[in-house]
Amino acid sequence: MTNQSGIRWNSSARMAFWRPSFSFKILWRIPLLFVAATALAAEPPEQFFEAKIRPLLIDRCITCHSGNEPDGGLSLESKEGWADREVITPGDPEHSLLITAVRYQDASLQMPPADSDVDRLSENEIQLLERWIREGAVDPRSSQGTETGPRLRARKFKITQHDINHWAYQPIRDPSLKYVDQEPSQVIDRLIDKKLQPMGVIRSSQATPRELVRRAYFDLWGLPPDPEAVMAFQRDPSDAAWSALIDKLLASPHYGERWGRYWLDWVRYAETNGYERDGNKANAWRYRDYVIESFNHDKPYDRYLIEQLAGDLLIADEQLTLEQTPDRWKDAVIATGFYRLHIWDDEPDDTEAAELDDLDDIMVTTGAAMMGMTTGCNRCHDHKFDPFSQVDYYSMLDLFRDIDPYGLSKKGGGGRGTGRISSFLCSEQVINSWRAEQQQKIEAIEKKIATAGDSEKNTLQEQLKQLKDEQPPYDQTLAVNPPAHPRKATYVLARGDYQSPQQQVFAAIPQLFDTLSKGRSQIAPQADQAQQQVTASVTHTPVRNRIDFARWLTAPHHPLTARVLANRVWQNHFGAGIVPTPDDFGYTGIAPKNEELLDHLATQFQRGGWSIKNLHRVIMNSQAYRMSSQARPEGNSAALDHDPDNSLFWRQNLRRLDAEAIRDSMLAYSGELTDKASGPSVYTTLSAEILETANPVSVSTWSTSPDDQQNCRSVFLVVKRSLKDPLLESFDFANSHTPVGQRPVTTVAPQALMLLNDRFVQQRSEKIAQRLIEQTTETESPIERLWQLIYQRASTQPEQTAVTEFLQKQSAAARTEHSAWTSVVRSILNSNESIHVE
Amino acid sequence: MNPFDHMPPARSRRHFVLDLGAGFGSLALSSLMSEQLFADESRDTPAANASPLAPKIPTLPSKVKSCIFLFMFGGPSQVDLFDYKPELQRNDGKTIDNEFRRGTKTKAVLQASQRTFARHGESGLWCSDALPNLAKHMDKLAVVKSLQSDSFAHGSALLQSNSGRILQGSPSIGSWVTYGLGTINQNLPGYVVMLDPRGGPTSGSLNWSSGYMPAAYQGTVFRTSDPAILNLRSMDGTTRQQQREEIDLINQLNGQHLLTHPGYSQLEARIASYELAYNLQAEAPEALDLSQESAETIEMYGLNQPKPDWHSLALGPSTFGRQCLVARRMVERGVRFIQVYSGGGNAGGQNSWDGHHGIEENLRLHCPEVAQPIAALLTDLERRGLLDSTLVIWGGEFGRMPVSETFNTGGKPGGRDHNPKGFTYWLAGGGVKAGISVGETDELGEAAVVDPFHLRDLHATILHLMGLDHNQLTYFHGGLNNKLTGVIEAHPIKQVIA
Repeated sequence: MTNQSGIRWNSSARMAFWRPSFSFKILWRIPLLFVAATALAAEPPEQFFEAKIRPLLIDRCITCHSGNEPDGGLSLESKEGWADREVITPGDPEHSLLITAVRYQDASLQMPPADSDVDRLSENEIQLLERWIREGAVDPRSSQGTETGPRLRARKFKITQHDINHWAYQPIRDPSLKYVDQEPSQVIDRLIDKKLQPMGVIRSSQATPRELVRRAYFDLWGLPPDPEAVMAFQRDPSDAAWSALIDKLLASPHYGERWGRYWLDWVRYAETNGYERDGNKANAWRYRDYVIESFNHDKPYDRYLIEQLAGDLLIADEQLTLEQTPDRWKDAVIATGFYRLHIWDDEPDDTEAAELDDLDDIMVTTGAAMMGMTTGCNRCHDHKFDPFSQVDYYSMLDLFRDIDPYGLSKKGGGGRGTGRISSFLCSEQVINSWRAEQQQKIEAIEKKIATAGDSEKNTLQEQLKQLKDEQPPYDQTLAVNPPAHPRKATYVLARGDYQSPQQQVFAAIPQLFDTLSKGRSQIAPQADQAQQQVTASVTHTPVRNRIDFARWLTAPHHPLTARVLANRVWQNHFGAGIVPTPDDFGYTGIAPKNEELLDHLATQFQRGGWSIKNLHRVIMNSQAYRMSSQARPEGNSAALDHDPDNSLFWRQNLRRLDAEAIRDSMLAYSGELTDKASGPSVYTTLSAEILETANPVSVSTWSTSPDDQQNCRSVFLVVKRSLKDPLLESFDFANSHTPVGQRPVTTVAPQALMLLNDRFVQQRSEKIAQRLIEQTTETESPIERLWQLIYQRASTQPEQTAVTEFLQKQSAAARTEHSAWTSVVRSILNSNESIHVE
Repeated sequence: MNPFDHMPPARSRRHFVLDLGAGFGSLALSSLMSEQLFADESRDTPAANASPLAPKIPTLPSKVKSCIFLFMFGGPSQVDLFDYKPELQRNDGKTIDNEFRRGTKTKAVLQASQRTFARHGESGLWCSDALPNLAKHMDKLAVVKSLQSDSFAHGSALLQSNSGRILQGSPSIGSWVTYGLGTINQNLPGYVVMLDPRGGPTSGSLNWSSGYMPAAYQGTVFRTSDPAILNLRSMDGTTRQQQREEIDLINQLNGQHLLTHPGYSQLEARIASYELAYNLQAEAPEALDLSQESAETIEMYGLNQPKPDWHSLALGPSTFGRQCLVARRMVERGVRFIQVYSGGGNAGGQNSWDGHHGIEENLRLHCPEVAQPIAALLTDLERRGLLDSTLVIWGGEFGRMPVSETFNTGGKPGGRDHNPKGFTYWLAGGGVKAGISVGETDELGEAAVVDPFHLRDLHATILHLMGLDHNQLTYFHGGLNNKLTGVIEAHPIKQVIA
């Protein structure tokens, strides 16, 4: 439950308000008449409870009998808690187990336990409890959390009918069958209307051509349109022109630079390891480029996942080679960098535990990013809400045991080496012949050393060391290599502790999916070997390896994969997903209010060959996407009443630009945006304030790029875990430690300070002001140019007046024209209109 | 716990209310724009109490309003400061088996403290001559000598001290406190961090990160020199007058925009954030303006003491003193959680409390830097009647070994290595049982053996003293209700609670 201030408490939290002021309030709620009638007899039962029983329970019982796993399964936090376990018979203390226990009447049930360090209840306390029970055990506390929230699972794990019926595990149903003569985009509109009609709500009207063009540019490119693009569409706002615009935007490399970054959020991409030394993950940018290119080439999403989960095995499976299939081979190698992105401690307290932490990070990310599944919980115990057991967790984890661990086993202080986490992007022969040559050089020097004099020896030793340290001068990438060590066995670990291994488990998909497929015989119409295994087995279906797992994940009838991705694409076109919790499709997530809409998108996505670009077209060509973000002046009051949060999508959402779009737009306006489209990451110039407060380790590895390279798109800026570009960080850049399906949108004063006073904004404003002054013509005033450049519209009379008055004040204060215009530009860049998409 | 607690994106007023993490709160918008803009609306304007940082009522009885966490980065040596071990003194030079990293033992030589210990005050608590000024305040302290944590390495140990977990990505304790209690002054950050001028601690901002919580709860780095906060003032010398005029222009543009975009409270929130920023520009320097302090106060905190010249790294008490004094001023101004770091820069050198390379040199450097300021802070808080409502905590990411270190020093003796198995924290102020010592390490001071407490117990204690129950203060993320103290059971240290 959430109180008004957004804070979250256990259901028991409100119970803690037992202080006098609270009791007083309770008293006031009791009808006066009742108070009058009982005043002479006894305290009203609620008051008695608040005054005596609630504090007693808190003091003496609740420490153990509360929370998600109360001792003995008995919660004394709410009436439901004790009623469920039938430990109190209201009106009858003699037949209440609670009294038996606190009176120590039964040797097998003594509370608090005789061997604990807590004293027995005093006679007085026991009598209070007895009186309370005798008078009916009035207890105003209710466990609302468990009534409205997800159900806690039973202690003994088992898949229930309730699980099988959960919406996210249902087969994807194609609702378009009911709309045979309609285009997929039109079906979106029909499905939305279907939800709105019963409430008497109509969809918002269409946005203006200007709004649409801005929306399309920011959505697909993360960059503003030029004024000409807006004018062209204003001249011809036809459906055909709209579709053509979408195609044009999708065909540009800017598209991948925008959408690839979303993926990087989902898999918590970063280029450093984090922790004390925050060491670089060399060549991590190749993975970033792979992601961008995959989006730009519209790589089928199933292929994209298989490459990342099992690219190394795919090479053997499909006999990919550098010579014959260079692109596919490279993609398969680089994609496995996915497994190297996690935070990694080079000096862990315990290397065994750290290896499992790393695997857990991979599990959590795979679960959240690809399956909308929360897996962190069942590392230590069965998931408390979702139908995933601890055995499921370790069986899935076993899939990843053939990956050479990141990090060399080393005990003792200091940093440890990263292990075999990279791979060369050239053939083995090339490397081997380089190594052979190098070996010859080494041997030659060693020979010389044997006969050399003392002074010469030192120089030679140094040469030798250099030679030995030298790396082959060929491109490398983060990757999974063939394992160098025997595969470790996987055990279920009690409480997640590797020192408490239970039964051994083997690679398998979670039992739930097995139950689903058995129950429905849904999986795999074109069954390959892996899928035959899936249907053949009884419980945990074994999978041979990561390829099988990836193919299972991307099989047409997998209930989650397509839905999760379709929801993410929708979310980034509307500001909110159909499932508002994109990383959590389980019970603790929020169910979609329009399941059919989600299924329609998932169906279209798969039917289009897992093409994400196709999905964009389907969504963006709908009328729904093209709606205004405003409520209709007339007629939408019903919508505002019934669905103020717009969870049924009766209008578009006004959205703040994300950090990258804010920064990149400024560079676009000033004409300074570079055309960098790939390659090693760029380090921006950090202010003295930032350098001072950062740890020197982070600063020393921050190799500031030359000025002329810094104005690239933000996706090419380095993502260093311990030190982020302050402008991006301030505007809610992804935390890069955990998967982020949806960045929070915060509005805080430091953001205002950033846009008002930051050097980057200052420089862009100066540049834009300079261009305005230089390019002013007789036919177009600087204000007009500025309004067209940033807002793509003409200025209004009040706006002109405001700027004119502002300039007069600046002039009176003897500021130069350039300086005054810099202020005007900066004000525009700060304005709501410039950093929101309507 | 409820699935609807998930925060969808800011779309409605309700969400605005959740997302206006002004960092610094909210204000009446009507003062910003023409009255008529709002006059025709039946909508509620965002009230000050709607910010996520609006003050909230503690769930446990507590008088504590603010917390000052004095963090000795590097790991202060308990056996040279508070944890007197006669057996260690007697066995100087003897060789023992020492577990210097988890599961790795080596032969090592016991190294007695060169410090002189004495009992102080009515309580008779032990304190060495390394901290002479502080020794006079032992009756105010509750000293916990039996803390334990899970990591021998700075990075993860710091994260655990601050966030409860050795892994990155969780909110820090200041975030938990401001999440649970909000903050009193909406024109200053609720959670402030002041760093040693020698650099930030290992892992930098992750130590005051809000982790998976919204950024509104993260710590704001506050410098005691101008400008106090990043981008507080303009880079190009824009005057305050000009800044006001720019904000007025922005407000005019935003006002026009708002008229055509009714119903989007995040637009109003952004407008409000500019006023907050403007207020902050005035309030932050004011909090730093020590000209309002008496000469006696300035002297007491050691601000007039020159930088010592015996060591290139020595700062003397003036730096930390200034931070302690600013911390007190922040307490007066309603800042909820203030963390001050002593020691900064790369771990492993004498620039922090990481005394690998000579513990005596390290103590001579850092003890004088903090002892007088801390003593002054306790005196000052008490005489202003603030000690009852302020919780002061002192400690580091771990303690140090009773043996001489040779592992990191190329064999040179005299240093002490990390020790997470038994180390000291002390608490003072609101709700703390003053003048007591809790828990003990073994007779050599190496590992906690009597009443050992984990850092999570300390965290539970801090929350408890601030009026928050660590079991009930939860944040839903990644499929579960997360707690500062994690999934392993934790208990407030009862002995230190008055």
